[in-house]
Amino acid sequence: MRIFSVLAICLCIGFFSSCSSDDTSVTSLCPEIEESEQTALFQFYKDQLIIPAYEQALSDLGVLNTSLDDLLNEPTAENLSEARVAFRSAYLSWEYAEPYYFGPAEDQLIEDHFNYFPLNRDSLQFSIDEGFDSDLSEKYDRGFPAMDYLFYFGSEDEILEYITNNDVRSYLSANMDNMVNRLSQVVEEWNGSFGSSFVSNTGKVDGASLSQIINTYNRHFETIKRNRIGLASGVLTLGFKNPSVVEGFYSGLSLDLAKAAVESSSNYFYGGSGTDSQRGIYNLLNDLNIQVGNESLANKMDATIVDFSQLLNDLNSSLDAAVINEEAAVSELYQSMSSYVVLAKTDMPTALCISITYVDNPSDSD
Amino acid sequence: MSRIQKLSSYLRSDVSIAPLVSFRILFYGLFLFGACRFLDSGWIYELYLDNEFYFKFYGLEWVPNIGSKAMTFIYLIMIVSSLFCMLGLFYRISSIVTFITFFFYEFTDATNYLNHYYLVLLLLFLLIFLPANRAFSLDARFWKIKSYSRIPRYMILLIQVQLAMVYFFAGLAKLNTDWMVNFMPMAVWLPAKGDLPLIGPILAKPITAAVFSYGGAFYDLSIAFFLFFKRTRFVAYLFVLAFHLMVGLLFNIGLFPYIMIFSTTIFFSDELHAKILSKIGFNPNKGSTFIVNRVAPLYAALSLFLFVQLILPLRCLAYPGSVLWHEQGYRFSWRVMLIEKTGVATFKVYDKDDVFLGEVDNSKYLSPYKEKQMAIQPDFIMQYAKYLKEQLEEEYKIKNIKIKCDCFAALNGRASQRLVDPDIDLSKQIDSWSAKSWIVPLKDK
Repeated sequence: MRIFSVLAICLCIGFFSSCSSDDTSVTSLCPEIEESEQTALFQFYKDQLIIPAYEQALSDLGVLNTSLDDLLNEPTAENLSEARVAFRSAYLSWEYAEPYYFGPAEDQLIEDHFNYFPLNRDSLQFSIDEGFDSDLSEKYDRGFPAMDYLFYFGSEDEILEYITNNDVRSYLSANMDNMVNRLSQVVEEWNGSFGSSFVSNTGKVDGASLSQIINTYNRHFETIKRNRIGLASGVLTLGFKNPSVVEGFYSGLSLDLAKAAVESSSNYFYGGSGTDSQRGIYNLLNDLNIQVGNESLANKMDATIVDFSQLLNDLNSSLDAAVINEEAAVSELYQSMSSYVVLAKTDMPTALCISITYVDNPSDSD
Repeated sequence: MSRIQKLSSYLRSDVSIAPLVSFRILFYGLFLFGACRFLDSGWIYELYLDNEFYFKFYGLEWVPNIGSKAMTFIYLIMIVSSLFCMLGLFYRISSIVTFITFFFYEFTDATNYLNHYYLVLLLLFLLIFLPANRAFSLDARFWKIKSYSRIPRYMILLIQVQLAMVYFFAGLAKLNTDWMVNFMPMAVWLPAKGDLPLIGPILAKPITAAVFSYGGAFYDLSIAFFLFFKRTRFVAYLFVLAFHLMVGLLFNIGLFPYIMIFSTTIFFSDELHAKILSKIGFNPNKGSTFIVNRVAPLYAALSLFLFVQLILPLRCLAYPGSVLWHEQGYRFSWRVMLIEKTGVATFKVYDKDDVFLGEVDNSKYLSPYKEKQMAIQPDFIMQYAKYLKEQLEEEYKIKNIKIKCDCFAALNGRASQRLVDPDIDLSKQIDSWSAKSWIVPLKDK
């Protein structure tokens, strides 16, 4: 009997001394989301956002392909001009398709093959000399950044002369074919079996559609914050600016591309751009009444999105110039985006009980 | 006889060596399997990269930064030595080597801390001092060392008490409001397994988290007692099997369930162990009885060991606030699976006049996994800040920079909150036993 009273005393001591906090407030207890609501959400994303974005990107890529062929067959100033216009359209359309890096896009390693910037010129030269190899996926020497360089690196005459080289021509063709093949594959899968399984893949497991959306949304946003704004602005290099690492440096499209990336990210969050029928994560958070510190999380996120979108739109020149001439404005933009990451990467997944999985976890946990 | 004398003679009363032998075989066998599994997984190459920053445990900063090649070599040695231990070959040396190699594996980088690695380390340590090779071993067969058929009871008790402390403290750690009132983190982790066949939908229900939380706490607090007493032992072991297998199925915890399932066999009677081992050739009568001659140093060592094992888990009492949040005294205290915590840590660099210079790109210095671990543990944040100061001052050829951190973490379903004081130069903070004043307390709202 004595041993039990000893035990009881231990337990009491344990309870009061187990270094606990008295905090009992939590933002949510992992709200259950109706399966029908989930499938409706995924259906909306698939039909209204993802497939249209991919199909548009593929279509514009096709136009670029045609004008590239024209240019390579007949390297004239006119054809170069047309190719540049097609390049711009295709690059901008691509921004709207970039966020959905899971499933087919991930299988195709679409990021590596489409838009790994900044370009590594030595790597590009090497690949031109050795020939395009689609299986080598770690090099900053292909996709849009390669064309960005090759269409804009110098004067028109210099460019037209350079692309008469057979190596360069075959490189450009192979690069283009590679992109078209991969993107076609992605579109096909989304229109096919992957698309259907995406709609029905409900639940909160890693790999379920909601988790894919939250994770890739965050991942994409971080590429905007870091790769498109941060690195060039010098904030990540103690104030030493790196204008040449912006997206679309040679073509001067960096600001347009960044704006498109931000808009596409916002579309991902809202489920579209201001139409009445939009039905995205924003609506889901509000429907579930997710609060953070007595404020609607969705509204907090919305306010910050509006803030940095406006700051971005206020910039006047291409980003490589802006990081030098509009330093304060770029800095403010970066800070605004940083404050957003806490909401999107910590609060939103916590509230929905989704774990951020694109940070890998080698080994067991405890 | 006085109580002390009664206790002393109880501790020295002899039991068959069989439980120790089976523990040696099971434990080292499982360890061997685990080491091979780890080596085979390739995780060494992901966790031990030569040019990355290594986080250290307080007081163990002298452990070198072992890269993947050296770690592989250590693992190979560990595999051989643990095999020898299991077979009882060159046992004294092998058990020491196994302990040392595992020590280096465990303490090289603190982000790899896991409670079950710590338990394994403790058991490896204890096994060095126990005569586990004195029966049913290759040492006994080949080298004709003195065999024992009976050993003092305290040797078996020591392992039992160690395991009991693990369970009990783990149970004690669960007596906090997050676990018992909000059913966190079960309320997050169980629904995430909702796709499992049959049990998935049950796991997704809120009531299941409550059942798991209360059940888990009760199990941890009581199981050692039920295992100790003969009447309840068999049923208790069934619960051990059920509990650990289920937890192993649900969560990504590696060999932890099996460590407990295998180790808790030590609670069974020595007669049962002798009977089972006899079936595979063990002779329970071969050898003499191990007599302890000098009890004073023995009792002193045991007392010291037990004292340390009791104090370590309780050291968090010395610090104000929630240990789940500030994590001072969190490790080495059997706080098992208590938190779902994520965070974002942005390091800002200032010059000596507090002029903002820039931010740190963490991906340049840390793998995503290490960054994730660092962002939620304040002592790691501080270590990393010191490292950054060194690195940046060298890279940019500047002096006297300050490193501050904008760090937000979300604990067990709460909204994200600031974890550290954003105005403190973290690179100047000193790690010590005293409470870290720059950790922002967990807020109620």
